[in-house]
Amino acid sequence: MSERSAAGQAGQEGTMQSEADGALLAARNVGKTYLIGQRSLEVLRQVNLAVVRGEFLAVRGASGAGKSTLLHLLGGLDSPTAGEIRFEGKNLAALSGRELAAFRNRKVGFVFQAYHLFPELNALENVCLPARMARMDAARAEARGRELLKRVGLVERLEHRPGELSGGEQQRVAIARSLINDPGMILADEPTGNLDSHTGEEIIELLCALRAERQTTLMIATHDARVAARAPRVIELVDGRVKTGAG
Amino acid sequence: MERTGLAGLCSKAGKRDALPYGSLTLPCWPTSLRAMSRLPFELMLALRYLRPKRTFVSVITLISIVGVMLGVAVLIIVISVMSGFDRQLRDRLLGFNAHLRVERGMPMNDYGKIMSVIASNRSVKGVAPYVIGNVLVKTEPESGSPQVLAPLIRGIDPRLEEKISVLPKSMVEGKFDVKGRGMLVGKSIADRLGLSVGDRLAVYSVNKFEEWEQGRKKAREEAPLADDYEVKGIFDVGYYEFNDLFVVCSLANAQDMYELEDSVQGLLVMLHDPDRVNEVERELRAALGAEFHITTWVRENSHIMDALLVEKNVMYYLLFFIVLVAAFGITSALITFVVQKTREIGMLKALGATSGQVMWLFLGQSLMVGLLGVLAGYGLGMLAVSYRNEFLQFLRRATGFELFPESIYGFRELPALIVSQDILVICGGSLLICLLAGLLPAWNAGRLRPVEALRYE
Repeated sequence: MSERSAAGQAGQEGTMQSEADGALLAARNVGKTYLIGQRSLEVLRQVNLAVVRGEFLAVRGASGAGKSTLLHLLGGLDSPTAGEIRFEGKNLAALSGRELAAFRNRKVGFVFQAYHLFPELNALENVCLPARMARMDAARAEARGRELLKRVGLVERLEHRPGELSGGEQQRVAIARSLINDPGMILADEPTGNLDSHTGEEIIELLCALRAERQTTLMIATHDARVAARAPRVIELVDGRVKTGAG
Repeated sequence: MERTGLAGLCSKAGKRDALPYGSLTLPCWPTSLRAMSRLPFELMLALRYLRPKRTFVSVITLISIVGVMLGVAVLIIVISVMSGFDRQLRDRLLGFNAHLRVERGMPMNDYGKIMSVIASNRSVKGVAPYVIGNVLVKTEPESGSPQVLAPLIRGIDPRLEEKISVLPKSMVEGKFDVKGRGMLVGKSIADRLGLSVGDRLAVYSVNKFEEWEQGRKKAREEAPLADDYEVKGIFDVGYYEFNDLFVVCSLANAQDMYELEDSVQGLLVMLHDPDRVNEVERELRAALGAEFHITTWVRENSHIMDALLVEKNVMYYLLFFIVLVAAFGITSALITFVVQKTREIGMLKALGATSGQVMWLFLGQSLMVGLLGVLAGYGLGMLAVSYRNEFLQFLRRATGFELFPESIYGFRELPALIVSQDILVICGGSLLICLLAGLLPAWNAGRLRPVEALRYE
């Protein structure tokens, strides 16, 4: 590391420390290294990040920069090999498997590039699934699911299976599903990656509108500069590091 | 499925969005909507996963269900037939042999008094005196050479016999009559000696031979004189050994034969419920005192009953292997299914499912397969048990092959007894095996790491 970048990193860490105090989510010196046979692959290095409640930020970077890995770590889907991640002040590494599952269920909503809807369930059932996991009463979950699907413009598609929906519609269902338990944070990993530009635009529009309505924290990982430009704050990842000056 | 009750208030699905603000029409969902499943999500997904699709896994699942069904059905059929055979044998044993035998080690001359003590027990249905001993019988044919046999003779009181055995109702020829020198013979004895009703028999008791032996020692060359009897009836009590072993005469004649005067060798006791025999034995022992020896039918026939029990247990173990093989089918189907659904498992975990919930989802599947198999097997088994004789007749007509020849098994129709405890063990055991079969794949699914599962290609 050059002297200049090291100094920049130190400065960034200082800022992060002060921001982290009131942050919803704080990542400190987070690193992730995968072991592939005898070889180790460092995907994230010394990532420091603080996200305040209700904030909208984009994580931008080229393919393989570590965007998805960072989102997975922040959402409790994976654990870092270095550093720590705190959500509402709690270290995710200290949570038990059951607590981590509850964290993913109630505190975070995921939206993936490939939608990941369950083909055996219809749109309403897909949306209600996280609520049913949280043992929410079926009638209440159903009412909320209907409301959310209405909000994302799929009121006439409630009983349609994913195979009967277009890509954009499937992503709308996935967005509604991410909001069913009213989480504090939405993590969207390339949400427009599988969509044409017009539909992608609509999806981003929808995400932005929902964030504003619900005052939810939204973090979008994208390689698309136009999508990233919608966020007031952009973090750029290059080779697993937050680019100096970004964020 | 439940339909929305306010359907009629909407003119067309989806049109409500276009309704003007302040409209008096109630908001409602499109008319075709069904209420969402109220089942826990693990069970709901397990059920959805089981819905038949033309996939390799669903074919294996179907084969597993058929396997469990066949296992359960075969178990129910075989165990029910064995229980039926067991019960029929027991009924036949107890039809001629009493439930309890009371003896004193020496002839009883005060048996009337003892009988009233025994009869006062509320579980006792009937009590009768008996004399049993070996005799030598010789036929007296009008032509040809006489035949000789050494059966057991049983002296009975015909007035009491109805309450303690099926003998009065088991006459296949002649009538139940032991008056005077009347004698009843078992069907097998009659067949072997070529006897018919009205034929005469010379009967030598053991005492006659003892007399003859004593006479010879004293150099008296007197031949023992046989008692002359007339065959009044031929009986078939349904059990070959009894038909082949016993001849029956009046109690008085038997007492004479064994020089017992007014004494008897013991008392036969019949109970209302043969299963209470041990309890009644204890009560009678207390009422009669230690000088009396009481033998129960359970102890007397333990060799046969134990053999039947062992046979039934062996059948249980052997036939449960069919269910076990089917359970391996469930395991292999689930392993394949878990691999196929790895990304969905990852997504379930990303959405907040715990390892336990994911595990229950797949265990729920094996439980459903087991439940379907067990239910189908139960239905098939009960149906087969109900129509077993029709099936045997069909088999006999179609192939000419007799699966259960009457000459060997001694019954015209295949017996069967459905014991609810057996059905519970078969169905419960099979269900448990199916559940255990799903344990390993379910556990594997539960411990999948979400990121690795999501990345799985």
